[in-house]
Amino acid sequence: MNRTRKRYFKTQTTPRSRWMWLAGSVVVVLLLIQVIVSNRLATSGHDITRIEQEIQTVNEENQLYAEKIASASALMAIADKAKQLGFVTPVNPIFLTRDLPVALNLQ
Amino acid sequence: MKRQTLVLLMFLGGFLLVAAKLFYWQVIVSERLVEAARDQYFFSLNLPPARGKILASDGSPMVTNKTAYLVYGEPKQISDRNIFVNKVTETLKLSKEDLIQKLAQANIVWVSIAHRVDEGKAQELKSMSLPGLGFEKEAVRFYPEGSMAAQLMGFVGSDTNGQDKGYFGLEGFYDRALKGKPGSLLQEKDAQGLPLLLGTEKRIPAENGQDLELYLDRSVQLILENRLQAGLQKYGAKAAMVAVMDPKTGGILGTAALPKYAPAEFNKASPQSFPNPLVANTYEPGSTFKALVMAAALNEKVVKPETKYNETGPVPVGEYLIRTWNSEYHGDLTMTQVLEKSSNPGMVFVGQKLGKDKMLDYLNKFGFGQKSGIDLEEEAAPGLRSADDWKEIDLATASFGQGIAVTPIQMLRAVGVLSNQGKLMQPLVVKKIIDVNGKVIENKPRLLSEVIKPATAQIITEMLIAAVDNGEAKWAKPKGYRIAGKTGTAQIAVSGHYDDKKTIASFVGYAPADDPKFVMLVLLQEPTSSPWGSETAAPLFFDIAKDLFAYYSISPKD
Repeated sequence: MNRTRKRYFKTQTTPRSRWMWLAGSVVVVLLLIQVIVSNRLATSGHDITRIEQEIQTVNEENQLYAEKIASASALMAIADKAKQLGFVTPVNPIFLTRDLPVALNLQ
Repeated sequence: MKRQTLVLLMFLGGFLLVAAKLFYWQVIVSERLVEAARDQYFFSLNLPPARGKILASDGSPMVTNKTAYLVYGEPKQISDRNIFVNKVTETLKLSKEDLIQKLAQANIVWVSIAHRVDEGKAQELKSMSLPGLGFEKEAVRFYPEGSMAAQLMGFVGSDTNGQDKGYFGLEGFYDRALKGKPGSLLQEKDAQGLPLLLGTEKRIPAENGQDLELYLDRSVQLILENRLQAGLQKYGAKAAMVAVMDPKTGGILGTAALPKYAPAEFNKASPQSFPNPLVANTYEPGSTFKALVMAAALNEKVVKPETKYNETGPVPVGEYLIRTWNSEYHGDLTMTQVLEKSSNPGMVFVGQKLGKDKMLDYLNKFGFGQKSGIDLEEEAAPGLRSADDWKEIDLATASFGQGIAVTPIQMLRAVGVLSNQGKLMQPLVVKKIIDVNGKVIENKPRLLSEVIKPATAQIITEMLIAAVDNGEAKWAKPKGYRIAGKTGTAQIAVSGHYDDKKTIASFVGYAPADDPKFVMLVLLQEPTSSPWGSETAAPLFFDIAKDLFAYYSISPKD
């Protein structure tokens, strides 16, 4: 029977009909691929949600660190910290010039 | 046959019924059904933009954003109302009665308890795991430097639609640039509410607000804030203001005003403290104005520094007598000495030499009677009377700074002309506008006009140096520096006459005079220790100047 079929196909199919069989097979294969890929991607919602939540968490942490950096580097905060460490505002800065005086009054 | 026809008709009837029902669902009510289905399988979200930051000249944030929370309650989910109310009000410091009243409202699903709750308090509440307590994130403005330059920054409140809006200062002026544009997300989701990668997604990303980088120098600002606070207390003034400008660029390096408010808690402050006095307040400048009138007269060559005026006594002008500030008269005075002694009769002489038309012309050229164009909201611009309305006495009083109203920024900008070779610059607060993509729009210095010749500017500078070195405030001047400036003590007009006790004491000047790094105006309103500018505003100016010299590493010449 198989030989009969093969002989039938050989005698009954033309080049044009072979191309059509080929095109049809490609379409079927592509459809199958689409179904498989869609199936796999359809459940990726979990991953998307997880990634988006991670992005949000990281952004929130960045925001928090930026706030802490801004607070710590505020001039008022630095001035207070400097005071605690014993720094004082110079009352009379000493200027070094090209012409040095004979004596300096440091008071 | 009849039965066959009947069956056929029955089938046809059934078919028509089904078709009619399908027509009803698919055509007549289809829009409603599509909407309902969209709610089930589409998820939509508004993407709020982040408001732009305001940065100092070194890139440090003066105003930025932080996460806060809207705390809300769902009355139907609350298991024990007493515990809920006690814990929430204790943590958030709210009134128990108010919260009980809110929760007792009939038929509400949720009720707002508190806005802008910080992260710490929110975490504390979350840890209590109270049923019926919910949290929604919202952005709130954060001020790392506290209330520094509060009036310059402005604050963010809500508009009539409940949307964030900037008010006063930079937040108000640049509200549109700072607020950005909201985005939106429309996403298809599955039965579990998870997004479908292959589904429909329409995303319009939010466009975050633009950042502003200022000319403001944080260190200069801190110096001004500290010194002004000390000066307000020392001289017992009702209010105080100081502003420092780079004369070459017009950039505002720092400005402070007292009383001030905390922008983070603007709702607790008096609305009177919101407008920035630098641009919103008007005052009569008094003797500081003499520098400008003298510069105008020198430029017109109607006087020279060595022109003499014989100061023998009060000068009659119409039915009025113009006296000196201390009723002392010094005989022959050069124009330089007129400034040193701050002689009112001497300035009347100069004003008369200049004439009404030229006086008005120079007032306009110096920028009075019009807005300075500074990029701040709430700028006032007291008008100048037309030439026809000016009487002889008006010319006389204007020559020593009374009878004319100006704003501090107008005064600062005008004196900046003397320090900048006669050139009038537009004052600017913002140096750069930076968008999220890093594109920078520079707010470059703008030269508006040349008011006086460079030679005149040099002459008036020398005269103002002499006014500082030999004037009433010479005792407070830092040694070894050439500072050009002028004291001012203006009476305050109250109900059509001048109060004989209350004054506005001021000092305006620039240094180092040969190549000015800054021009500064100090104003003290109603100082009680002494009414005179030479004894209050001038020493405060010099204290600030000393700090600025040290900061800019400007050493004395001597």
